[in-house]
Amino acid sequence: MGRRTESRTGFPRPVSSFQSWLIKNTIRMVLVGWSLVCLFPIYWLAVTSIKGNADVERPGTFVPLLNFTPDLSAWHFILVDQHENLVSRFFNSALIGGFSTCLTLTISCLCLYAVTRLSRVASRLHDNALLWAVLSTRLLPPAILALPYYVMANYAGLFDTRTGLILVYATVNLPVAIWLLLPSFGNRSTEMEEAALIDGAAHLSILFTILLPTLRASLLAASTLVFLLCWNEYLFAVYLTSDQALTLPPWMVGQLSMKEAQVGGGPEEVAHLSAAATLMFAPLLIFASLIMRQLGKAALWRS
Amino acid sequence: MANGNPGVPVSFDKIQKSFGAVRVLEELNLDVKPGEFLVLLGASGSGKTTALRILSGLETATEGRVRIGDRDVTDTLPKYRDISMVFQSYALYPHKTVGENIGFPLKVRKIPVAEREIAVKEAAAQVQLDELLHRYPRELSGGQRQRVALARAIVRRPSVFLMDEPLSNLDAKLRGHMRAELKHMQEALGTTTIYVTHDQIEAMTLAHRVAILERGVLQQLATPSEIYNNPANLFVAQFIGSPPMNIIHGTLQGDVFASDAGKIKVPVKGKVEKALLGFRPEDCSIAAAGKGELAGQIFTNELIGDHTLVTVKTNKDMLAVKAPKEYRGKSGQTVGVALSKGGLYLFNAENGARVR
Repeated sequence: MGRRTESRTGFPRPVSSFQSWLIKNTIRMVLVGWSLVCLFPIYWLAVTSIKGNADVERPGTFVPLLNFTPDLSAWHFILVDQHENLVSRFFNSALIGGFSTCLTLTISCLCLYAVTRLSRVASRLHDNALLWAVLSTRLLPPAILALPYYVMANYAGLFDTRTGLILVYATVNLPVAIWLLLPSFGNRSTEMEEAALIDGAAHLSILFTILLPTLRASLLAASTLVFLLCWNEYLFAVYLTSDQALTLPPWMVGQLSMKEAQVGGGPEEVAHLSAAATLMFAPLLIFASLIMRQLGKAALWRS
Repeated sequence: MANGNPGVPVSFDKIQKSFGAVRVLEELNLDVKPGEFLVLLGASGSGKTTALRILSGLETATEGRVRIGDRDVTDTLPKYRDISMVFQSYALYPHKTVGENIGFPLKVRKIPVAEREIAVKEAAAQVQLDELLHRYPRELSGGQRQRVALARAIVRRPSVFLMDEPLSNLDAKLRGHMRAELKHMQEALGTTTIYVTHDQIEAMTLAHRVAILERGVLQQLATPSEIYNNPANLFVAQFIGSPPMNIIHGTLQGDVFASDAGKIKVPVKGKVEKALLGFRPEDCSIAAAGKGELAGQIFTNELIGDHTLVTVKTNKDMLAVKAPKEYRGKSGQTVGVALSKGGLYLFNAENGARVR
């Protein structure tokens, strides 16, 4: 224990600069270590995608060139042999994810504005019940919903259509978006919105031109999450598509591991799957890093 | 639509407002004259902001009617009331430039761009913001933001200005400056203005007439000098003036007010068991021991600058006396307090009513 002084708040504060250096770096190392644990699967996936058949199952193959010779046959298979399939599935995923995210965010913003701004105090309790009811649709396991959705999609002629999947994703992700955005909407109008009301703006234009621009950071965060949920969704995509509207996850699992009876069969399929999975999350990584920058900028608007 | 409409009367007619079981306004009747600068003054929770919000249409009255000009606007949406409002937080749109902020009321009313730009420049010039039209609110100081809010309010030339404590977020020096500018601007435009504040200096300096509210009840509506010189009741007497009016407890019998500190002949007659005598610190002076109507010991001396504030302790009460700035008394010294006949007010201690 070194010398200590009382800080202004009454907490003892270490004086020695070595002590604070040690604490800072210990924390840093723990965080770096934990990040490595979290990031390892992603690294493993990327590395496996450039392994030859023999290396996939051989232990001790961690660093390319050092432990094994990179083999791009899996990437060749995905990008060249499966080119047409890949492009159409990728396009489907992006389109369905994008449209469904827009739809989800629009509906949830309209819903939140109505519940938090346009209802009277007396019905507040009722509104809370409404918000819980919204969440309750998310409480059901998706597997229970899949079959009814399949039947409904068939009746409506939306089976294996992008529209069908967009609507289903908007439905299941709406509660997530509403609950994510609820805190940033607050529970009543701000003076800024009241000023706009007196200045003569209608509620819809207050929502879209006054309120939402100031919530950019939250909207970005919520839309990123909703898009991720759509992008990686597997179960509904399996039930509701067969070919035309097939998205990346079921295609990867279905088409790429067909040769074996069970998912993730032989070493060849493992490499193929790894390459496809790497291709799937790479755009997300780029997207996320761009978003992080935007989030920083958007936080400035609040001042 | 954008043309000026100075001098419109406003009236509150038996306005009541309750939030659930809480009664915020009890039958408020208030007539604002055309072109008048009326200040609603009160402590927090007095209902002054609620009254303003009912006039703006942001809040609806439980009972009663609101009129602006010859129109009954009780059930009219805020945007059709032809008013503009300045908020305490300024309520600027952070993602819009100063120019876009000021032009917003015209934009939503679909005024052509050319006409809008002229109006924005004119309003900005009026509050000396011409140079800052392309800045964002976050790049401005508090005083500049306040000006943007003002410009946004005047750009549309509404019938009535509503201001909800617009100066209370500014520092003291800037507040005094903006107060003068606000008064000048209101005189130049001649637009009826209703201004809410808890600051008595703002009320006294800005207002043509002051309406003092307490617990949802209008206590007095009068000119600043009338409020100061002829308070309607004990609340008004003590609310206005700094330091507040001195109060002595006693009884009134005929024209003599009797208390522990002495017997005083007063200019009113009556018989009140529990009476209060009030006089302002400047309506009394320090006299030699044994002289003057009241007696006590000096508690503290405070040199304010243009005068010395002497606090005298009598048996029961503390009295603030404004003495000349040269006055030097010692703490604990026995002195007399002389009262000037013109500055005595009597109140009934039971209900605070003025005894006249």
